[in-house]
Amino acid sequence: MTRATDEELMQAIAVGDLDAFSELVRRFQHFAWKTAYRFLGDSMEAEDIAQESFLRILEAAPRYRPTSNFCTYFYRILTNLCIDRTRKKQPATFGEMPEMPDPSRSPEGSLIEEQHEEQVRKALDALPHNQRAAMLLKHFEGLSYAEIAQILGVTSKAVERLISRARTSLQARLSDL
Amino acid sequence: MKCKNVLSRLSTYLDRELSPKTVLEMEKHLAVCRSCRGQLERIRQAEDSLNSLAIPPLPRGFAARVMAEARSRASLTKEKKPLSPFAWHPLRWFSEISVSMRLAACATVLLACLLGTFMSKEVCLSGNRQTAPTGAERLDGLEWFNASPPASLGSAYLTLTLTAPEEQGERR
Repeated sequence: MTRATDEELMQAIAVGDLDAFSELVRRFQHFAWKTAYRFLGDSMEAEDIAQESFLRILEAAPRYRPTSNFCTYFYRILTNLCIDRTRKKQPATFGEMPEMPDPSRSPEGSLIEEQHEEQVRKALDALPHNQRAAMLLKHFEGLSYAEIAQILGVTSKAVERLISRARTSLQARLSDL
Repeated sequence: MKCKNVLSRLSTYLDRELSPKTVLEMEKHLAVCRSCRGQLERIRQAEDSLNSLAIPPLPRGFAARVMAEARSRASLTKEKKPLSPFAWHPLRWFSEISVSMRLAACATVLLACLLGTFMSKEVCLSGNRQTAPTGAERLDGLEWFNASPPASLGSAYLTLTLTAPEEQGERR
């Protein structure tokens, strides 16, 4: 039995096939979670956004036309949700709860790694939304400028500028690491 | 290629989005320019530090929660749909729009009613002024024949009706 393509699953979802939707969730859940977490840096928000992206897919399935790769389509939904969430995010009025320490790390190593990670996180969070999205899509997903342009709804030249500025900014903030 | 041109293209060079000819020129320059090579290395290092971002494992039961929410939304959508063609609700749209839109719809209907009432009053008043029956013309419905041409059937009927009682009296 041949494995249904993502596009075929979308066609089945469009006519109300929840089993097809379940298969799509199974295939893309890790991808959605990682992408959202990298962008937002918060477990609860990342889970919320990853979940919402699947529900958006479910709602949009009847209107979906397989003109482009499903992955690109999903990236667009997910990235836009992440950008919207970051825009709406209110500054915290009181300290956030610290993450649970990773038991696999030694206390000293863990502290250094945590500090390093925190600095990287801050540098990433300091980037404007579009720069952050473009940089993450390039670095972690290895997408081309043309694909990122399609996801962000900008030109390839604009993506080139976004990534270049993001790199300059990251370099300035992380030079002492 | 000069340092200025190379530095402005370093990011695109790292992404392998330059033409083969430009890449060749860049590499020629980088091979001899220590400063540009150093800058390329610094950009690489800064970007590589992104790899240190740890990603926690996917929360347990994530897919199950997504499916539960999807099923609940799907059942809600089914409930909203009419079960038969007889379950037709022409005013359903009103319950589905926002409060501000409802107010706007109510205001429009009210305005239309007021305008309708006002305009019909105007028509009645102006109609009364034009066709106000006088004297012998005060006969139910006969004022409509006033505008009839002199030699028409309507005019003849009006003359007969209005003169008939007097003539009848004279005859008597």
